[in-house]
Amino acid sequence: MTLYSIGVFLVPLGIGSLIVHLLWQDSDPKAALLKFGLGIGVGLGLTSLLYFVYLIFFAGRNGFFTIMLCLLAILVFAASRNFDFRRLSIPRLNLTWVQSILLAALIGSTVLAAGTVVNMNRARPHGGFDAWLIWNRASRFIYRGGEEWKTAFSPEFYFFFQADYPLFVPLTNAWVWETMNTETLRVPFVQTSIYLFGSVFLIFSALHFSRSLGQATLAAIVLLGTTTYISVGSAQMADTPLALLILAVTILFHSFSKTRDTNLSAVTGFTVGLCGWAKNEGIIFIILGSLSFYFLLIQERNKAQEISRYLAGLVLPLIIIAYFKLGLAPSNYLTEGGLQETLQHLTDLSRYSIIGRAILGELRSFAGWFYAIPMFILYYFGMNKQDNDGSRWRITSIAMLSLQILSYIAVYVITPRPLEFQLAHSLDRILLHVYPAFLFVLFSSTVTPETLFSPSKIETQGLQSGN
Amino acid sequence: MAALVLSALSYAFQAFNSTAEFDADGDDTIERWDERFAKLKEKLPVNHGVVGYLADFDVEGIESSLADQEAEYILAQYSMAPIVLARSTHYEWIIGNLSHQAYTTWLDSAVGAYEVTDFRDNLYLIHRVEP
Repeated sequence: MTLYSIGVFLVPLGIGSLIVHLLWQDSDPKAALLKFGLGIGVGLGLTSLLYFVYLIFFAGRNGFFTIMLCLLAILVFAASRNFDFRRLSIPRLNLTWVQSILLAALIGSTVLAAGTVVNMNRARPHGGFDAWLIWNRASRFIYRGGEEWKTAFSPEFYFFFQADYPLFVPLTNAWVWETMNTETLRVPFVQTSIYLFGSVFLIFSALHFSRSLGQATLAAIVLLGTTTYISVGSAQMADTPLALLILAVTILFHSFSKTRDTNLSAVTGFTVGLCGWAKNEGIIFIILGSLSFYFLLIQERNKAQEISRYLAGLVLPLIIIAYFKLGLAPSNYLTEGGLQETLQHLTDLSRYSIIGRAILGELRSFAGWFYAIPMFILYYFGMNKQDNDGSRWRITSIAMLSLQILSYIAVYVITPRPLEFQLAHSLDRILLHVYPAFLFVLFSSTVTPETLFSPSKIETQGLQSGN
Repeated sequence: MAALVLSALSYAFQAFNSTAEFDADGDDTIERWDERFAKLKEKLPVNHGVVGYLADFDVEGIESSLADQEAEYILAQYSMAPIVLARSTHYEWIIGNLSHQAYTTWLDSAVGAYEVTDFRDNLYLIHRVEP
């Protein structure tokens, strides 16, 4: 059943990768890995959006997977027309001793992380508490509901079921169950594993493409060694999909600032839009991501063209999110308190103090590490490349990710729910949304292991990265 | 750099080691609840939509742990999908997840006429026959 699930999931992964490939025609073999990494979010997000549209018109009827297979066939045909099969070759690995050690460590980390995920899934086959409270519950309603799938958004749900939450993860479970004709627990397990290991693959492929194999390996080892990322990532919730998408956006910003490839704007717009389809926090990210993209374009001559392509990518997820939020979903819990209570909370200084203490606590134990954040900051300043190239991208990304965290703090300030409970229940988890993206910025801005242990290779690295 | 790699490896190992001690048979709470509600679901003449949900924390005079009651409500809702369980008795069909004492207390104070099917294990299907 697990292999069958993986087989079905390969279809959206193929669709996403081919869309990215068709839009971003970089022939570098390293770019192929990155395209696959970027295609994970694009493919699963697109199929989830299309399934939503399918349900509106054809709920209760099978046939969605056939449509996806046709879409995949069309994309394969389109991609193969421009593909030069003579260029296909297996790249030779000529590893330095540093790279060999790091790769061995990466293999070890991957095995340990995979073992942890399997152990956690055996212990909690339905995922973490929030998974069966929100995400898998919604999946059951949509799949079991058939023509009555919209019951999943009934206003009669008790408040803590959060029936207004976006549908990226639940719809993906539902359409794969429909394809397999069974409600197997392997599907949410495979889905959650794809986001978890997909984000590791994505950061690896992006740094391999832009920096070096050693740097890519180092970043992947750190992400795989992040205890809370592995536990949250195996809990079948929507936090890791959002983290994967925010990471993809940060990588796309980086690639765009290096290549100025206009087609990347469309992929960026689409990926930014998908964030709002993954979690409510992603809706805030749509605003921040769009403003950040505009900031990246400030010195651009063809600004209007870039923006129009970006908007072309953003429009589908945006329309569907708007339709879902305005037409189907019940109101969000943040509106429960009303304006007066919100203002009261905003002016209550004790709330800021409680939030500040919780964040300081996170500084000590974030990511399941002892003082991870100070360690990363020290690493950043100690190993900084000290060049100004790419500084606009770096500043934009850091500002975007920091503002995302600030928006979470703002939500904690105004929340009508008990503040301490909400902080204890969610702070470490939601900070993970920006964590892989911050790691990408960190490892894009620091010297590579190859440079550190073989200074003569500095020039090669510089050329490779264009950084 | 070495500190980063060694920290990451050691935390990855710790995570694996701590989860290796988890029960290999897994937590079957949800399966037990799915099973518990299976017969009631068959009897319920509603395949979708909203039905009422009544539990100890809704019955006046019955002491109960809020956390336990909420956890049971969430489990019940997960098992009963795609039927919405609304915490109200203003529906034609009501699912009672009640201890014996809570059930008798509710029955004594309930207004209207009801048909009740007892599924044992503190589970009742209540049909409101008169408003």
